[in-house]
Amino acid sequence: MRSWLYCPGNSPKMIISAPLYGADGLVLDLEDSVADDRKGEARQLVAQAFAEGIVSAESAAVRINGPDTGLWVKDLEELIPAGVRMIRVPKTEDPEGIREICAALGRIERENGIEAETVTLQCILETPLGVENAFALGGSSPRIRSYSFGAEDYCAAVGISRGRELFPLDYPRSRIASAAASFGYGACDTVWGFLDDPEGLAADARRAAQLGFEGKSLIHPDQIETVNRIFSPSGEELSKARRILDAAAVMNGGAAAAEGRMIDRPVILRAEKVLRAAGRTDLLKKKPLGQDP
Amino acid sequence: MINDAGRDIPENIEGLGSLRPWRLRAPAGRAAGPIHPADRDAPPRQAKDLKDAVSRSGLENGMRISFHHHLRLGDRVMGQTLEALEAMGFRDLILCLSSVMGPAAASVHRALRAGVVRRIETTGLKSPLSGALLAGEIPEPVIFRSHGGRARALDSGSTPVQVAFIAASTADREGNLSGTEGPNRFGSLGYAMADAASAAHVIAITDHLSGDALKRTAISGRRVDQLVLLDSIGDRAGIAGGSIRISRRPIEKLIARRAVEVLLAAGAVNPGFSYQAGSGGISLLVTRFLKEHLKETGIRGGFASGGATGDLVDMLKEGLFGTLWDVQSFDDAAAVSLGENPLHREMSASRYASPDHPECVAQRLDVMILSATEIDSDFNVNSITGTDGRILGALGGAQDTAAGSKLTVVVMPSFRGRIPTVNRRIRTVCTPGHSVDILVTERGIAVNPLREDLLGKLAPAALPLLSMEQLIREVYALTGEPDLPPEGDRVAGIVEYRDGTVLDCIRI
Repeated sequence: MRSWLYCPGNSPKMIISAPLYGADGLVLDLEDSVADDRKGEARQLVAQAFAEGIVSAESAAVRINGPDTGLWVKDLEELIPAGVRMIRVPKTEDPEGIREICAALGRIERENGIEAETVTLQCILETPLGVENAFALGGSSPRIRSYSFGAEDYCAAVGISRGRELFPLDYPRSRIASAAASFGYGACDTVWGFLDDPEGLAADARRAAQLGFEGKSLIHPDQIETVNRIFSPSGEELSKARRILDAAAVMNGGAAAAEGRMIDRPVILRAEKVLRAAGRTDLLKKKPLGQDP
Repeated sequence: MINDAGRDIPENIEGLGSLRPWRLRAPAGRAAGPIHPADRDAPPRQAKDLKDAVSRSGLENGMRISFHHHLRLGDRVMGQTLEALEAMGFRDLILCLSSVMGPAAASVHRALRAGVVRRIETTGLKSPLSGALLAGEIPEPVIFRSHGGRARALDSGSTPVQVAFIAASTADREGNLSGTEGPNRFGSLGYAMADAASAAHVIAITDHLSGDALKRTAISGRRVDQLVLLDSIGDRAGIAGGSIRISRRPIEKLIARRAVEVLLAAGAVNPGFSYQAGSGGISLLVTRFLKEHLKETGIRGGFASGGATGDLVDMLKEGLFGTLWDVQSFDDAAAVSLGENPLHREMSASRYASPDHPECVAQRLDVMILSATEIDSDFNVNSITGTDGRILGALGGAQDTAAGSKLTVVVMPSFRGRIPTVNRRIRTVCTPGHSVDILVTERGIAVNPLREDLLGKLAPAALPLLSMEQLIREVYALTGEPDLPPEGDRVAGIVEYRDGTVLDCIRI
């Protein structure tokens, strides 16, 4: 998924509109964008949006309240029966926290007649400890599908003033992307908060893509087009991947040469990944521009 | 009697006389012959003040006077003139306006209450007049005419104006007028050009008397009878106000981008194509996105027309359009350009939109982008009242451009503030559906079934096409079906079609 658009859970107007903009995924938020005295109202609105099919459980996740708030259990108890199947867990730091959430999910699934382990997790790594534990978290639950980087809290904790420079985030990004790849998870980059700087967004997204991320979280619909473009294989990359796979199809194991380089197993895997990404992003299916999800 | 828009029209209204119902087929013949006032062969008289000018204008109680709205929210001329008329004891005048808003609307409201004015004929009106209409404070029904319909009515003599009060940002001693020079420049004098051509008496009002000849003249001094010099014709900051707003709302950007995709899929963007967009926020965005496309592809349009904006001025400069026909300048960039760029042409309301003008620009349009307050399942468009009956907009040139252009696209969100704008029946029919081709909303695109050719072109582009009924159902699923406030029996407004027949009535 190239683009995950955040949407405040207490704004019916934005929830109704959010699926129209062309993001690959939505994150309906119950955490930071919702004031403490609006949490209950937001939970109800988000549950209703899933129950009435305004958002799709296949492409919309919910960011629940943090493990330190005591609100997350109620979030899950109301949202899972309403149809939510992807949960974004903020401030993930250790396997124990994940196991606690998974235990609650198991109970809720049982109580509501939902097949076990239907609900999946996207872990947000946004503290120095969470980033360091990226490898330790991997495999702590079969529910985990992806890691998501949260730079704002990370920068605040480390004492980095997040500006438009890209290098300060290279370390956490690399560690998260590397850990995600180790476990076959997706890797989603942090938001870009400077809405008046689309060039900065593009540079930030390109850096994340170079470091191994497959997409990015977004805070405004205007960011979707840029991010989808940057995280999509180019036409040239697609052609090259096809040529590599064509060459691989006629070779009898071992290695062959094409595109001026040796074609071996890693190159083939990379080509397959490019075509898979293109398939996920509908580049191969030629989905029409502006088509409602 | 029921007209061809399915609306019940009274046969007769006291004070107005008999009404002609709108018919799909335009009536033959003309309601009246044109007036051709004699041109002056001497410079205009320079009046001491407004009262002095009025006293020599032949104005009597009950006659019709006209104003333009080129000064938009900054207009100080209409207020000063109406105060002078009240002080002179005038009663029961008919106001013929190109539109009215801001402080000018407040001054008309005061004149109504004082009995100076009994009827308003306009393309649109804003608060407090909109509230006064709904409250039944205006003695006679307000007559809404499109810009082309107003020009036609003036040109044909069916609405004879005794005195046209024309504010200009500069004048010379021969009475030549312009809106592109002087401290309060506002650009085109297009609407006033129609008034000057037909009024029995023209009083020009300016705050800048040029000692030299004007760089360019919009209205010849031969059509000006008297000249009045005021301290100020307007408030500079308000002159660029009104309905001009470039939207930053994501939904409106989405609709605008889709509209451009529709234009491309319909095959409407070709070398030499002609284009106009209304003054709504989404329409202005369509122009901006179209500009990007033209720059990318190198396609050069023929002309753009209507209200001129900075974006259109830039497109003209960059050669994306060959000519910009300007009836009204929406911002200072347009006003400056009109004064400097010979390819930026000033046009009268008659030439812009009158159905009787032999070179009507609206009739030559390929693409028209319209905003609206509501649309119904027959593609009838409301641009004056909201679903709840409040008066929100104006007729503008919608009827004229929709009728004239080869492709008319309405752009609007499918609901505003939880109230659906796509409805089975709309409050007021302002532009008949037979002249509207496509509706673009954030939830889908509906093509008028009368345009099967367009359906054939859009379907392969895989745009999110819906029937109007599907779209209405989808919107009602989110908002619920609106429970509309009932209409009363009293006719407080009449919506004329551009040919002078009656499309609909606003009842309170």
